[in-house]
Amino acid sequence: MLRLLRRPEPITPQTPDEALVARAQRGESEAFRALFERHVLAVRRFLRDLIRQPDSADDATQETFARAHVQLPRLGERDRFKPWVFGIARNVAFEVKRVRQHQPLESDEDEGLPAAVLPAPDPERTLLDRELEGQLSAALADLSEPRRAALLLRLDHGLSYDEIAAAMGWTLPMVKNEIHRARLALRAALLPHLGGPT
Amino acid sequence: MSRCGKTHLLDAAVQGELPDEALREHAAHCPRCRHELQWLETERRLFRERAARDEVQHLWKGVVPRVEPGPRGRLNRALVGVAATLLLLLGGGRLLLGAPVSSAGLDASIVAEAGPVTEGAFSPERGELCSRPVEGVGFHCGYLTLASR
Repeated sequence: MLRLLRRPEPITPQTPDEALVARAQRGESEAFRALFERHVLAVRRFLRDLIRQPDSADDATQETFARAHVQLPRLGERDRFKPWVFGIARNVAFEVKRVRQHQPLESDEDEGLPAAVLPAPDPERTLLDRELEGQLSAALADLSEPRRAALLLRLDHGLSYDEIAAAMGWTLPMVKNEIHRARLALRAALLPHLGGPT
Repeated sequence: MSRCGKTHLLDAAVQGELPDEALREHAAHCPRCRHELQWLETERRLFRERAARDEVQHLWKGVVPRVEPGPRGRLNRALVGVAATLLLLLGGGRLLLGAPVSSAGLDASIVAEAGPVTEGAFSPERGELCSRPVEGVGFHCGYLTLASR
């Protein structure tokens, strides 16, 4: 009885995902709201990068969290909420893109990797202005969807290679290879805008 | 630039997965690692600046109808809460008034007086309030109907 009457621990920025997942699994809507607020920015950005239509990305973000809420009771590894929710997001993005069949299919072929080692960027010129942001988006868009997803999970969302393998359903060597190739292509595309030596 | 066995560790160091102090010190003297480190830090900075521009406050409104109970659900929860509170208050009141309570939660005085629910126990011949209904199932006791086996 005392357990029922006891007030729940307050949720703070230091409350780990694992604890929030456990509480959300017990039906605490505030805990799920906290998980949403903690991860929605990253998930929306990830979906926007995969789908490349802001409105569709917003809808897909909402769909991702609605599905996460339904599937949350089945999440066993509570400390892996982030890769798990990114895995859901990727499935949602895949479905959105499948519906948009008028879009040209993206090639999984090699994106023309630079043969030689690229020069380093000029640190003075790496502030992200609108033009460079546009170039970054264009460079990401040129990558195949799976390669782009893997690169974003690493560079933008800080997932470990193990977590990316789980989210993508790939082997670890495949994750490393895809991210390496994506990185080279991204650097080659950005170099002219970063002012490094040619 | 010659190959270096430490270059592949830099990514993990920049991501905070490995201690980076020794690797950064090494990179200061290794052209290949210095070059890679410059790229890794540039990538990190670009993505961080890009992330800082996001705005998503409006998105919860689209999720909340699917993850939280609506007005009817909240009403049901409130009714369950009120019922539970009433039960608690009634139980507490009975305890405060000193009525003896058996281990099964029944009023022991009533059980002792009435005995088990059988036709004999509630026969009209004994002058009690209970009577056998016409349809022959259970007993009428005042405004209550008790079912028998």
